[in-house]
Amino acid sequence: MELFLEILTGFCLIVGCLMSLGAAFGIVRFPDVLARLHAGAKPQVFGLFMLLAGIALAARSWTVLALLCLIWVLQILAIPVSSHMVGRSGFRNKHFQPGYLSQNDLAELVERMNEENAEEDPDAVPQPGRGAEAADDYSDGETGEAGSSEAAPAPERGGEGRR
Amino acid sequence: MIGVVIACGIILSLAVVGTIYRLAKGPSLLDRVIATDVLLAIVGAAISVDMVYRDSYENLTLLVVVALVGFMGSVTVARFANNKRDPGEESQDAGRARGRGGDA
Repeated sequence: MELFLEILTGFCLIVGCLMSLGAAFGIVRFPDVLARLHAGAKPQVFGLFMLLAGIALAARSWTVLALLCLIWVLQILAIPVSSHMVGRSGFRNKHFQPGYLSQNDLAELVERMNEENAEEDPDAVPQPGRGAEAADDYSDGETGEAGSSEAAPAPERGGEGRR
Repeated sequence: MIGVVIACGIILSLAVVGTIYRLAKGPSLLDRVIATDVLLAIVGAAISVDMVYRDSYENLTLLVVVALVGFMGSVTVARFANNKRDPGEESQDAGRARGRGGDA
């Protein structure tokens, strides 16, 4: 029984650490903020759960278990909120590739909101001409009807990127 | 048990290398925020493995603090990150993604 619990502890710890490694791979390999966010939340929720399970199996004490539950509840409450905030900010500031989305219901809303912000606070936009240009580019890509509408602006944008 | 600890150490070291690479390179501020979050999760994992190895559980409070600090840090930065994406900053990954989108 003792040996079995020890093996189970080791298994939990290794799986928890592997979640961190998976998140690191995802963060390095994935192309944009939203995809990296998806990979980055894995060790914070499931990885931490496995590690806490390993601690609980190794400690076998009620006080430790109570503290572990506190950590787990705090993390479960905190991670969705912080991930949501980062994703929201990433979406509004267009840190994603329109080509990856098959449908983008929020595109018009975000566009309208950006315009309102620009009207309210013109100083916040450093180069108005360039900002409008970029918005046009992205709205072309975000129509999301078919690949043809996205393929058209690609060379133009590539050239702009090298400028 | 020592074998498990060594394996966890190697895995976490590799994870730290990948995360720090993204932290240094990451084209935008939000990429760095995500990388910092994962780095903090890795620190928490290392603390957990260390606690099991030494069989002393005082550092659990440190784990609570790490969880809360990570939450507050990422929320604060995400709230005030208002930089527009600069077209000049697009990486090669981005170009590849757009090409794939065009093929679909």
